[in-house]
Amino acid sequence: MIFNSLTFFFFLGVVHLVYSLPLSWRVRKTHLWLSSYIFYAAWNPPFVLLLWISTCVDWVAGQRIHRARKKEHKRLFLVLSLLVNLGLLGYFKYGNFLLETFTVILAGIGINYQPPMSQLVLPVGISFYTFQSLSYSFDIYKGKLEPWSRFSDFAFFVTFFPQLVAGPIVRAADFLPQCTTSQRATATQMGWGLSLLVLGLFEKVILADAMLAPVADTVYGNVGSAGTMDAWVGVLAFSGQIFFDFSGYSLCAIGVAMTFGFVLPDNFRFPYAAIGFSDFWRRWHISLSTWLKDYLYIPLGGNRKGGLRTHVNLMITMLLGGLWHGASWTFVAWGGLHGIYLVLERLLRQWLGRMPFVTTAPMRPVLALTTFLMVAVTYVFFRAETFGDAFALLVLMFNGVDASLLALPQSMRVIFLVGTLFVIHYAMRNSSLEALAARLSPVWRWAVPAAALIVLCVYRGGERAFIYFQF
Amino acid sequence: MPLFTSSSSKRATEDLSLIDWRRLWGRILIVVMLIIGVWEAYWRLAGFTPGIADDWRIWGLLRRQANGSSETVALIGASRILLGLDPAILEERINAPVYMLAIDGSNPLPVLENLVEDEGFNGRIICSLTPYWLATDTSTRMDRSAGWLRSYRQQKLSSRVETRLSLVAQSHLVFRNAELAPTELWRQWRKGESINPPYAPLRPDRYRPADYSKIDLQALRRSRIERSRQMHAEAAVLERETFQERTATIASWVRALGERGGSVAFVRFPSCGAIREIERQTAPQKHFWQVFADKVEAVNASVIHFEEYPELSDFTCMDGSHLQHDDAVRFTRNLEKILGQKGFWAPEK
Repeated sequence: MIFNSLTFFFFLGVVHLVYSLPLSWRVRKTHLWLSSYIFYAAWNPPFVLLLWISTCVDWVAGQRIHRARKKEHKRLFLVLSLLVNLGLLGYFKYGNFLLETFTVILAGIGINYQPPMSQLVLPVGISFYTFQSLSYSFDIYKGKLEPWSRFSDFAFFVTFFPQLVAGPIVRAADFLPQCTTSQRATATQMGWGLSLLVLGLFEKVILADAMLAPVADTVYGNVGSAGTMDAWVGVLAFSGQIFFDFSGYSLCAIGVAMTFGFVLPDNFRFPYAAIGFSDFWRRWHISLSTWLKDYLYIPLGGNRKGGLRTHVNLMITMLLGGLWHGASWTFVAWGGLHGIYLVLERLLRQWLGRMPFVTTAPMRPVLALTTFLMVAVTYVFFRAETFGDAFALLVLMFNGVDASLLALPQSMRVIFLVGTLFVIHYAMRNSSLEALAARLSPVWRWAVPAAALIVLCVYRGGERAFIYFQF
Repeated sequence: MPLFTSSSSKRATEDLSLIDWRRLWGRILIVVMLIIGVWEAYWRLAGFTPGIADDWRIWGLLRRQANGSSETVALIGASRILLGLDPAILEERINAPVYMLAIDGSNPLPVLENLVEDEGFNGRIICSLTPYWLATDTSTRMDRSAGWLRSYRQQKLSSRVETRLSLVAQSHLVFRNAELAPTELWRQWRKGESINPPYAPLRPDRYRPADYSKIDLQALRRSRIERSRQMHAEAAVLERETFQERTATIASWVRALGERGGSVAFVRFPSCGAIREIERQTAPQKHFWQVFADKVEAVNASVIHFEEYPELSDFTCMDGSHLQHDDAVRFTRNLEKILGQKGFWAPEK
């Protein structure tokens, strides 16, 4: 069930109807929990079992880690949780990838081995709920959290449908306390939650799917017949598409949760206005980058063990972060490029620190634009099906080929849209959507959501799933 | 109460809570309903009626419903049966469920094979066969039916529910018509084309009642003849042996379905004028249809060629290839009678 579907709105209406009844908090909470299973089962009912396994394992692991007196015992239960969660993730998501890689390595040393590839279907959202559930065990192991007393609350935390399949990845410490008191959305939460839902849908359906995706698909699907201009437009189109797609999903998730009175963490903070790559990762997919920082980068030693080790830790974190996105070496390359950017930025910062003009006001938009364009280039590896396509597109971007795959108005539309996106992000880089909404004049406050709703009602598009569902 | 656990400042949250959200959203909903209402009324006044956009999801919904009862009648073929046989009329006359499983511009044989292979289906099939699909080598042609069958098999529960809800919306709201999608309107406006209601809108039961008074019939007829000529010119007529192999395969399907209580009627729907002539040249009746009929009748299939029945042959295909709605209703009644005379509706057949 995707947010941009009639089924979801029907489901949401029914869930809200029951939730609004004068029932006890426990009943209403259980209703949300069970409805979340229905939401997930709509894709593939048997995969609910995986959700249960993840939930039960981390529930038990959390209890045992807390109860264990010796450090080794605590570690044993943490390892158990890791093995089960990452084992399931590895089996379903990376099984074929590992097998293919193994086959290539064998072929490299002259052994022709052709194992049968399994026909496994990737359980939707497995990377998200695995990380969310794992964070609970990690936090108890690190002594940051005590095991929760009620299993149903914990299961509800893992399953809560708005964020179940594509985040934001919520921390138990942020969510579970909200289960202790009866939640009903205030008028502000309901109103603002609905506004975020409409904005998120508009970003996804109109901006990502209708305006940018066709251009990105055309360029990435026909690299051989594209010219340099097409390549740049395609890369920009995908940069815009992935932002609108994923930020649209996050806004919908946060908005829907808010209409039930639940607060979820923010996932994007105008990332295309980032100045530098560490700033980018503080603004892009915030719930994943903080997860990787807290549970991977810092345990590896973070920046506490000297310059070289910091750079190695950064690279490991970003390479694994890339792999988290998809079972392909192109995603690893995408993560690796970001790792290299972060390392270079650290080195550069030491050097540029002696040049104060770099941080002056006129330089900031230049640095932001440079960061954006460099991030856009990394998406070539994220979007391309193969390394061959990715390198062909990169070469095309810089060698001045005069072919034209896209019509000029199509290219201009993408440049205008992505350019506007950059300008808005830059203008809003130190602000928030809430601040913007609070500043809007009363007419704009109702006219903008009304216009977005009208466009969404009359627009007819295909059922394009959110890009991050595949992760 | 914070709105996000991060990023939002306390000040912004406080400012948002000063807004009268009930009034704001009340106003938004009124404006949206008003504008959508005006939009809907405008297109209704322009002669548009609610119409369904055909796709594999809707087809898949009906395909699933076709299973389970020996009373069921599945209609398969391409546009000729989609425009030429009204399932509602047939359903009323035979008092049994009828499902339109024809796919516009496609080969009916993959769908026939799918129904035969599916043990859950044991009903009756009316298959519209044209000389093109019967007698030419279509193996290199991209065929929609194969794609639809593949997608339907993988359809998720949520997609099925979505299709049902979407059908409800499309059956009641004109502005949900595919022709009135903003991108389509923009395209037509840029080309300077007038925006007219479709002459053969799809009904929820997937029948397409055609009203040729709504279009430039001469232009349509010319394009149909041209397309037909091109299709037949590009397709190689089957060698005798290959044709006999195909016929034998179809006969084996009929036999297999018959063994579990189902039956098949092959119907050659009317075509007229130049298109009929093109078909006659490609696949002379004596060498193809007759050979095919002899073979499948031997395994208890019913075979009906419109030219062999006066009550099916006195129709004018307005565009050379398809019936208009009034004629389709009459054709349906006449075909039902003929099939009845052949014992097709009898339970033991």
